Amino acid sequence: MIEIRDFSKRYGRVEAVSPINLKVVPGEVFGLLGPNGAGKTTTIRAMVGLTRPSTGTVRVGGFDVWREPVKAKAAFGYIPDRPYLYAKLTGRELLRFIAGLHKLEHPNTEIERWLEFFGLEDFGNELIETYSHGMKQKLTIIAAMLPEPPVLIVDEPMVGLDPRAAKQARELLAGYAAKGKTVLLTTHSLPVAEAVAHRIAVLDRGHILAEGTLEELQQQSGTERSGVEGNTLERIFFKLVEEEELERENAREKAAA
Amino acid sequence: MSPVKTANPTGNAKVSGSLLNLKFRAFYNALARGPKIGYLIILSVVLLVVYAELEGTHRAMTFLCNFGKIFNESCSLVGRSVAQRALETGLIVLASGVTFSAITTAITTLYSSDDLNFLLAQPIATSRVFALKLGETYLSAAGVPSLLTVPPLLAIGLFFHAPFWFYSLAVLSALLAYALPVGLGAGVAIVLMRFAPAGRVREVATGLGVVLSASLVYLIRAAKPEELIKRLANLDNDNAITQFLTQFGTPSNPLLPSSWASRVIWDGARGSFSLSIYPLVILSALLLVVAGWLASKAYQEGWVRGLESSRVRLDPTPRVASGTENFFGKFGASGHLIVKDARLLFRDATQWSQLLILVALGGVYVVSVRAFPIQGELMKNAVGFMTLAFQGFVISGVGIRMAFPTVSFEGPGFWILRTGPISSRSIVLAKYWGALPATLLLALVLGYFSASSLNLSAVLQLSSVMVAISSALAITALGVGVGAALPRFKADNPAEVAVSAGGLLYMVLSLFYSGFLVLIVSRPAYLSVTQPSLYPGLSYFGSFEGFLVLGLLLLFTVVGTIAPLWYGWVKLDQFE
Repeated sequence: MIEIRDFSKRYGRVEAVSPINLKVVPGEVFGLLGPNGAGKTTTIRAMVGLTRPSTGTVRVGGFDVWREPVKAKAAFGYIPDRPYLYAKLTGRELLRFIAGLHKLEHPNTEIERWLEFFGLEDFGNELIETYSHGMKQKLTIIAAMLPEPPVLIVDEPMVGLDPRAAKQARELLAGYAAKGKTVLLTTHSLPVAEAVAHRIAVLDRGHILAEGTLEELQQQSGTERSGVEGNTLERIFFKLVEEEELERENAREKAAA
Repeated sequence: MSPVKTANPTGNAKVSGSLLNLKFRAFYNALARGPKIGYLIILSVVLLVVYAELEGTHRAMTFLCNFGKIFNESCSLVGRSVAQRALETGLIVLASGVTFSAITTAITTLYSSDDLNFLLAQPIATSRVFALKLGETYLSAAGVPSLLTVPPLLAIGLFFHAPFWFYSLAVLSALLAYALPVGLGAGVAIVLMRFAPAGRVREVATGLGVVLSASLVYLIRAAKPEELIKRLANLDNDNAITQFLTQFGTPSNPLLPSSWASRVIWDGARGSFSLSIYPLVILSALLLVVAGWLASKAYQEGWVRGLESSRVRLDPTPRVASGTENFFGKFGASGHLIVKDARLLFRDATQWSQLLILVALGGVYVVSVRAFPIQGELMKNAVGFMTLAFQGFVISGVGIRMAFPTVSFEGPGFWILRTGPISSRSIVLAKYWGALPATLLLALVLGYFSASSLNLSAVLQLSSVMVAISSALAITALGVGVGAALPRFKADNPAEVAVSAGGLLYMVLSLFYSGFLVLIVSRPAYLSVTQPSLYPGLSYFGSFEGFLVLGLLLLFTVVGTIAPLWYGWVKLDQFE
């Protein structure tokens, strides 16, 4: 379970994220969508302990990420958008290191299963510096899922993955939630969010514009009433973001007048 | 290429295509947006160092010139000879440091900079990109030595009332003395990147750097400062002394650019123009031409080769944990972190090369102490007491490369630890235990061998070992703690991590710590030298005063070790 209460983040005078509330329950894949600079990565970084909230709390797996960091961090796996790994370790060494941090007993069988799943078994003894971007991304996914944490937090999961691996990753995320685990992902790819997310929040300039299932978003955004055909996430997303921009423009004009 | 002109929505101002402008703009932006208090601290420390150098050089020159002064001489022959030899040795020491890091820095800057992808894809001549990167290599490898050299040169000029042209000539000579190893490093880097075995370039480069700088360190030993004392003690007539001193003052390594530079500086300060500037300038120009020619032939090809040079030998055997890994794994997450760090240390040339520095430093120290000609019990123990202080300085110098950068070595991969179930406390402690064996071993070697080879009194021998252990424990903790509080995850190598506000803070604190240790043991050392019969053997430490000294030393060591580690993990916890 992920619980965000009145979370906001300021960098000096700039408010990157205004107070937001979110709850993601076990068995659910939750998608966080938004244009560039919307505050998705800031929110994710607060969830995984890379950014301290300016206000509010972030709890993962029942633990406050900043008050009980070790317990909270044992409860989630994190897949960042840029897979910076220790270049001079081999793939297997990195995974054994992760297993050690999570105190996993006898991890070798699981490590081999995962390497085989992503077709990396032949590369497991090679230094990570020789891996392609996609291979590093696969290794990062394995590192996050190896300890089977109750919560998975994923930032742009498909970056650098080939179509086959992207399909595998989509299925993995959906299957992980089906096992009763919690999955939160941010993505620019609307088809990905539409395909795997049970619920979605649209974030723009630090505000949540809408939140709910695809049907609920459709109702909230009024795409049907306004005569927009179809109910794809893409249409809903653009409508919400454009409405927000229009409102902001109106407010600016009013203030100028 | 001529500057690019584009339409400007805000006016008709020209847009510059100068790469130098681009770098200055980026530097200005970083300065304008950085922490002002931090800059103020750095500026204060820099001013303090500059003042200390100016004042220190002036005092040293005054002392040396008055030593053995006859009649109305402006500076005694002994003073001139020793000062000239000291200047040459200082330049060689700094040049050897530059040489050591020049090749690896050149490879990092010329071939691994983040902006190369962008720059080499633009319609810019490769030679311009190369020139920019060569400039950056100079700043990285020789920037600090250059800045350290300028104040003493000014002080020497002022001391001798040097002519106005001296100052520019002296600075130029020093810059060229450092530019030569940088140019050599760049040339070697180009050749290595083009022809060295793929994937082994950094290892070969580090090996060459070690050989070159070790040769320079050997040349420092060739200066043999102890000869002066030996010969002065044995010479019996004035002519022989004069002859020896004149010879001692001439460069010990006449074919070395650092010696040419020191000759130009020394002669210039006293009003005469030295011809040694010509070989220095000619060699620099020649090296620049050769490096430019090499760059036009092989720079871009080498860069492309570097991108493609990863050779993979597939081995599908599922390798499992080694015995060492299993053993350290018993200590939990910290144990796994120690194993990981050890693997990275021995696989990364920029890291394991630091161990070689450590061995070289230990070797030169012990050999130098042994070579020191000392006669008389009092003199021997006085020199032995001074080596106690030097031990701390050496450990501080090693700690800046071995302990201080350990947290920063995590680099952009720090997110793995930050988001993993391991506390900042465990991270800092694991780094400490990982760095301690090397510094402790070095400290014990220095402490034991220097004391035993000088055949010091029992009290001083024990003090030497205790100071060594205390220095290793606390200075390593200081390095790891300050390094954790002020990490630099974006640095490419240990040298770059060290050149920071945190590095300066660590150096100042560790030198203070060494000074306090010496103060604590100064009383027993003094008594053991002046009144050896009062406390024979180690009986001093059985007295009440001895207990107090031991207690103070223990307290200092415990607080000096725990406090910086605690500070480090608290600040690392707050790090964003």
